[in-house]
Parts: sequence; C-alpha cells; structure tokens
Amino acid sequence: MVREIVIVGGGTAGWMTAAALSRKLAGTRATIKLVESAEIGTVGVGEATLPQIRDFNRMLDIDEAELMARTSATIKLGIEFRDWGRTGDQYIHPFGVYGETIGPAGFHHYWIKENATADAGDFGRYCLAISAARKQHFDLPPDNPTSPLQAYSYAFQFDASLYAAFLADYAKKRGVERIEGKVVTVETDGESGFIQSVTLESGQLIPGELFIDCSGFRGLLIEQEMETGFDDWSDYLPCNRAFAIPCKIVDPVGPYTRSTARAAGWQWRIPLQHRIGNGLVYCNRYTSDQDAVDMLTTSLEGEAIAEPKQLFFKTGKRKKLWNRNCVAIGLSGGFLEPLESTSIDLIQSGILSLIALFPEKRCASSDVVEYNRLMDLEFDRVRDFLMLHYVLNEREEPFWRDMRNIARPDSLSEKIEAFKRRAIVPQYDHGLFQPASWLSVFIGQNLLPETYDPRVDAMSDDDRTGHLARIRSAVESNVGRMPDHLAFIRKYRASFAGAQGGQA
Amino acid sequence: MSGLERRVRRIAIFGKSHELWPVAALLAKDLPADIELIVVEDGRPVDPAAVTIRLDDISLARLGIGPDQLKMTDSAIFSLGVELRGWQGDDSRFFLTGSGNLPPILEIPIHQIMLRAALAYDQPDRFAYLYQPFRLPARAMEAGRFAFQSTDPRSPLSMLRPTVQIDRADYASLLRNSVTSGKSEIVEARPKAIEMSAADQSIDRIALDSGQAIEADFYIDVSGAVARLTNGFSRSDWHSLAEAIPFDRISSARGSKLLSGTERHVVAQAFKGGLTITTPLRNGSIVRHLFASSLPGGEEERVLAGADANVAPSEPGFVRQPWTGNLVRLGGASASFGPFLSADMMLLQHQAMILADHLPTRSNMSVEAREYNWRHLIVAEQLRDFVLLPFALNRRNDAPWCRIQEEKMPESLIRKIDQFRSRGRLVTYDGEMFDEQSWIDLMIGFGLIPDRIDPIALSLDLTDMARRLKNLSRAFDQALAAVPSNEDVEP
Repeated sequence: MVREIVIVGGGTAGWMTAAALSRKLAGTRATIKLVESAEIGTVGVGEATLPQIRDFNRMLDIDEAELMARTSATIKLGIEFRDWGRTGDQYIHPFGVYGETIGPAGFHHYWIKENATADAGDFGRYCLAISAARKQHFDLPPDNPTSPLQAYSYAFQFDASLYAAFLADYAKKRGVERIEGKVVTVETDGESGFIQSVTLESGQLIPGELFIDCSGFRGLLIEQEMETGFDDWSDYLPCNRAFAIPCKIVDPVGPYTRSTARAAGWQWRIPLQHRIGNGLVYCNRYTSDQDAVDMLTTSLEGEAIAEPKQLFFKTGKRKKLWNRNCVAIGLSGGFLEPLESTSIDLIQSGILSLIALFPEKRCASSDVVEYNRLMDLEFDRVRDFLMLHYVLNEREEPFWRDMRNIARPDSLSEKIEAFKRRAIVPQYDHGLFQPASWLSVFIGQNLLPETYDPRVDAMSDDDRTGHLARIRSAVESNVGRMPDHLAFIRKYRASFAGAQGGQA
Repeated sequence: MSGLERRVRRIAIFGKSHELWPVAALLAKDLPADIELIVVEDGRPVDPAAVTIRLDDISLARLGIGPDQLKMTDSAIFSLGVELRGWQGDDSRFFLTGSGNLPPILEIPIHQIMLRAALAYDQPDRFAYLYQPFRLPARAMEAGRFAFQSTDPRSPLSMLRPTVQIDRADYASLLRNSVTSGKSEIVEARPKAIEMSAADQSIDRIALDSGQAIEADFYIDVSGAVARLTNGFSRSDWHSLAEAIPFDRISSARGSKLLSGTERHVVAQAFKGGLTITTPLRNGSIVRHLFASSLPGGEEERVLAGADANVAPSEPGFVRQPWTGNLVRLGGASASFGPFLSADMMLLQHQAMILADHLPTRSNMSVEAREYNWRHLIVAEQLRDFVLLPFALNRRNDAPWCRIQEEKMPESLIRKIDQFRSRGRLVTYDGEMFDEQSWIDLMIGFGLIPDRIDPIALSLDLTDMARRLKNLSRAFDQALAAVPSNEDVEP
C-alpha cells in the first residue's frame, strides 16, 4: 500500500484530509506530511455545514461540545431563503422531513390537495426542524424517535479557520507532520507521469507516493502540473465573485443560515457565537464590484469588524478529481458556489471516497475510475440542486430573468417537470439532497404541482384535514418543549471561549 | 391544467393469475372510489410453478399480507434462502440467504478482516472458510433450521430474512380474495384486438374474445397479451440476456418429492446443459427446468425432470421503455429473468409498487411514463446483475457453463466484480435491491479472493481483533443453537 502521503495545502480541505487519514491509517506504517505556507491565505470555504459533518466528526471520535466551543459553532437546522421566489417570500430548507405517512401517497401529496381546497397552512409548519428554527429552539434529536415528527438532524455554523486549526491539532497529535513552505517545483516520473516529489522554496524536497492537492482554486498539482482540465459550469452557475465581511451580533442568533436574494446574486448570513459571517455572491456581468460591496456593507445588521474581502471563483470541477497518483480535494477539485453549504461536504465526500478506495502504490485504474465516477455523480447532483434555486426565481432584475431562462441540464429539466406535472420528487441513494430538500425549494419557490397522486382522493376530506391538523399540533408541541438555541449551547458546555480558549 | 387533457377515470389491467393479482390487488386497495379498475383475467390454467418472496418485501406489507395469511394456503412454507448446488463443480453447495448487513468491527467489514487473516498466513484459499462462521443465516439454513426474524436488533437472529415458498396459483388466489368486492370489476376474457388512436398512438379500446370491449384511459399489461396485439412495440427495445443465460427452453412439472424434515429450501441445481430449480412446498414440490435445446445433455435432464413436464421457449431479457403512450407493461410483458431466485416475481412486485406510486392522473402521462421507465430500468438492471453474478462466476467445466464464464457481462456488474476482486470492496448503485451481504457472500462463496487487503484493514490490531471475532462467532453459535430445526417448525 501507499506509505508516503503528501498533502499540499492546509486550510479546511487539507486539515480535514490529514485528520481523517491520520485516524484511519493509524497502525499502518503510512506517513502523512502536510505542506502549507503561512504566507498563503486560505479561502476559508463555508462557515456553514450540512448534517453529514457530524458523521465525519464521529468518525474522528471528536467530542461535539468541545468542537463547538473551539470553533464558535452554533447549531444549524437549515437555511432560510428570503426573496428567492417573489420579493417578500421566505422559506427554510430544513435538515428534517415533512409530515409523516398518513396514506399510500407521500405526505406532500396530501398537503397539496389540502392547500388547494382549504387552509393547509405553510408547508414548513409540518416540519420540526423548520418550526424549531423559526422559534430559535433546539435540542438534540432523540436516539430512537418514535415518530417521523421527532426526527431531524442538524449541522453547525462555525469558523472554518478555527475548525481547520482544531483538526490540525488533532492530526498533528496523530503523527501528521506539518511542513512550512511554498511548493515551487513538482517532479514527475517521465514514464508514468506520477508525481514523485515536490520541492519547496527552501530547497527541501518532499518525496511521496500519493499526493493530495488541497491547494485551492489554482490546483497546483492537479492542474498546473498534471493539466487535468476543468469542466467549466459557468453557463449553469454564472456567479463568479463574492465579498465577505464579518459583523457584530446585535440580536440573539437563531439556529439557521440565511440566504437573501439580491439584484445580481445573493447574500449570506451565518451566525456564529461571537460574530456573524456575511457575504455577497454575485455575477460580475450584472453588477459592478463597487455596487456589490456597497450592497453588502449597507445591509449588515451589526457593525463591521473587518474589511470586506473579495473572492474570485469559477464554478465547475476538474475533469478528473483523481489523476494518476494525485487526488484533488476541496477547491482544487471544484467549486459550486456556497449557496447550500456544500463546499465542506464535497471535501468530506472526497475524503471518504479516498478512504474507501485507498490505493496501492500503482494506483489501480479500477480505483481511480471508481473514485471519479462517485465524485462526478456527487457534483452533478449538487449542481442540479443549486441550479434549481436560480431557475425557479420570480424576480424581475435582468440577472434573475436570465437565470430563469438559463440553459439547464436535462436531468434538472426533467425533475422540475415531474414535480410541476405530478408532484414527483427526485429520489436517489447516492447524493446529498434527498426528497425533503427538493420539496422545500419546489414549494418554497412557489412551484405548486398541477396534480397530485390520485390515491390521495381515497381519503375523505375530513380525515385529511384532521391528520394535517394533528401533525401541525404535534410539531408545535415538540418544538415548545425544546430549549432556546443559545440556552442549549450553554447547557451543552459548548460556549466559545475565544480563539485560543479551551485549547490543550 | 390544460382543458384538453382528460382525467384518468378508468384503468384496465390485463393478465394471468400470479402476474395479474399482485398488481391488481395493490391498485384495488389504494385507488379512490372515483377511479374505476377493470381487471381482465385470462382464466386459463398456468403451468405449475412456485414463487419465493422475502417476508420483509415491502409489497407484502402494503398488501397487508403476513405469515399468518400465507400459512392459510395449501402450499406455503417458510425458508431462509436458496441452495445453489453444482455451480462450482458437481459436488459444490452454496447457501444464499438474505442477511441484512453484517455489522463491521471498528468500521472494518468482517470479510476484510478475514481476508487479512488469510493472507497473513499466506493461505488465500482459506478466505471463504474463515469467513463462513459469520454467515449466520446461511449456517442456519445449511443446518436445516428455521426461525422468523427477531425484532430485537441486538439479537443475531435479527439478521434472518425468511422467505415464503408458495405455489404461484395459491398466491394469486390469496391476493384475488383480498380484493374487496365492489372496488373493481373483474372480467374473465382475453384481449383479441386493439383500436389505436390515430392522433397520438394511444390505445382507444380493446376488444375481448368474449365479445365485450374495454375502453379505459390507462391500460396495464402484465402478461404480454395486449402488447402482442400492438404494432408499436417492436423487438428493438428488447435487451436480451440470452448470451449470458443460454437456456432457451423451460419446463415445469409437479414433483413427487415430499417435504422432507430437514430440507425445505429451494435448490437450484446446475448440471451439464442446464439448471433445475426445485421448490419444496407443503403439498409437494415444483420442478422447473431450464436447458439449452441444442445440447443433448440438457434434453436428457429434461426427461429426468418429468415426462409430463410442459416445455416452453425461454428468452431472458427486458425492455427499457415498458410504458409508452397509455399502456404500461409489467411482469412477463416487460421482462423475463426466469425462475432462478424468483427474479420474475421480485421484478413484478417492485414494478407494482413503482406503478402505484406513479399512477397517471391525466391523458398526457409522459412524465409518469418517464419516471416509471427510469425506475423500472434501475430494478431490472439490479436484478439482472444479481442473477447473472453466479452465472458469471460459475466454475463448471461443461457446456454451456464454461462458455458463460467467458461472456461479457454488463458494465455495472463488471465494476462490482472487478472492485471486489481487486480489493474486496463492494460497489453500490442507486436503488440496490439486495443486501450488501448477499453480494459479498456470493462473491466469496463463488471463489473470488481479493488481490489485496484494504489498507484500512491493515490498521487493525489482530490480537485484539481475534478476541472480538471470537466473541462474535460465539454469539452466533449460541444464537444458531437456539434456532429450531425444520422438523420442529410447523411448515
């Protein structure tokens, strides 16, 4: 098997990879070196995460409360979308399901019929995660929920640079060697094209058998050296710039991220325990940098605590995320904009797939092909889900009008048509976003189906109305029993004690 | 909604016996009163055959059928799986069971641990032997024992996935009786002619041999009689598996073998020229015999199977687009995988559920058709790959088995085999129908030995692991000892 692993680049991707490999390869004779330069800043992708991050932390045996305290984490039950349909609209994409089984058809079919004939109430009222987020309540989900109405998941909103630092501590304790320096040259084998070593500015040569490129957008190894190629998805997801700026907290923060549509893009708001992360994602064909930064800075709810930082990106992915003996994880592999907090999750997927297919020295082509198949599937499905938000908008600015008519993959057009015609929701095993996610965007952005499952009509109107009222009531009752979100954090002993607080 | 689109108010379903009723019963149960279901049953007797269905099959639950209802039939008996006999040489035996998923130890699959142990002692051939103690359901079956699945998730017996073996005519009858009278109209007849709409190639009406005609908004064909009357359904959509399963004849006969105390499971016996599937039932047994008509050995075995056996042509394969216009084809009208592993029944039960979830509401049903076809294809390809796996890995040295070993298998199956052969990893796809453990068991049991150990398994401390494995194996042994023998269980 591979004995010498070299990770090029720190940041979230680099240290997540180092931490995971140090854990999973413990007891083997593998050595892990991570090369990073303090002079090169990290992009600090995503401060908001998806529930899968908890699986990752569990895999590493990380104490969740300690993690939250070290990274200033708050709880995240979903993402609130404001003004994405019509101005004034809002909905939450939750980490939980809607309703429960009340007949042979999916729950949403019953709601659709009720909504057409009576006051069914907002769809979000049938989801515990949404109702809790709106009330700013949270408690840990029960281990063995007795009803789907008790089932939900959660993620974190944290400082990604502190998360990277936390994992760096973790990884170094498990033998990962951090090497300070900038990579200036890459040596490859003339015959196989495999990377043999990288050389730092200091002249230090670092040999390896497997190289993991976590160098960010530039793709130092996967692109600059191996010329793997990039699938540019700008035609699908044209936003290409962002400004980010933190501000002070004014009011108690809730357990959710917010995304507000703006004239030529959208603005994020991610509340941590000690500050709020804000950013504006936009397309420079529709607005100037100055207008974008003005929009962001004038809409902050609290006093800015840093200068705005501008980011440039191009949506898409490498044609191969694993090429010869180089695996691209994180921004070096691809980027699909931060709308649904997928960046860290795509890092996680890359790591888990690499662990599942951890190679021998020659990197068997069957492993490489399988890895790329899995990651392509993941990227494709995330792309479709992100595009859905844009193409369903009902706004009138030029950017949004164009987004409604943007060329879209058949896979997405078919999903939209299936829901519009017959309330059919995408369902697959391999992919991040499950039916509840798709439902939240379809219904939240006003795509109400023309028909529903005919089996719904087998239930009497009274029975249906009664079931729905019971579910609303159960959700409210369950949420009412939960503590306040910030009170939970205190009780969980997860309060942030400052960037250096609580470190060993 | 477009005013030009008619609402679907009448659904007509055509078919025979065991194919018709799993679908018709599910629809009759769930449809609202304002949608009329017309069931056109071809009442002619069908060849004797049995089906095997897992008791945790979701469609049984949706039909409200459990072991108690099944016990009331004349033929149903319960078992834990299927024995594959002679596939790796005349004397070989392999017990294939459902088993849920074997829990990993420290996140490492047990087969990876046993592979490491086998390779550590340079004895790769002992891999399957070392792994065998952890195949609890297969061991129970091999020992002639039976129990229902434990509802306690901590019990090793929660791994059991019992099946029911039942005469397909009995199964049809059970389902037919479950349909509440008045919810659907049942007509005994066969389709004779079809009138197609000139405008959109949909079916307007179907004339029956009884003189009656059926007009509906949506037609369901489960046995192929409707599709055969249309010109629009060409063979171009047929994806044949005849090269991989080269048996072009199938015979069916009632066996004289009485239910034995110890052996109640289905036996799929490979032999020169063919495959015999014997299904014990409470009231006898049913023998189905697949053979290649061009091979003399197959003919001899056919004779042995029973002189009075009915012989019919067989061509395994499936269509990719079973729903076109306002006609959907299910069961034998859409695919034929044969009786091995009761694949045809498994397909039908899945198709019925997919159809129930995608019933059309209006005359333009292209969206439902696309969704149905897509999901049908996933199921068909899953079944195809699982059924083909033992054919691909068989180790017989006679015809046509040795030729099958050289056949090119579907890409999805090749990927599964290659990944497992390379590193013992199971590739999974969307909509996996079979337990991961069943795939792994089959591959190991059929002699696949991974070339290398998964590097993650190298991280294990084998000394500590030996203790853990011993504890697990002991727990399995104790659980197995508590499983009653077949003689002690009411069939």
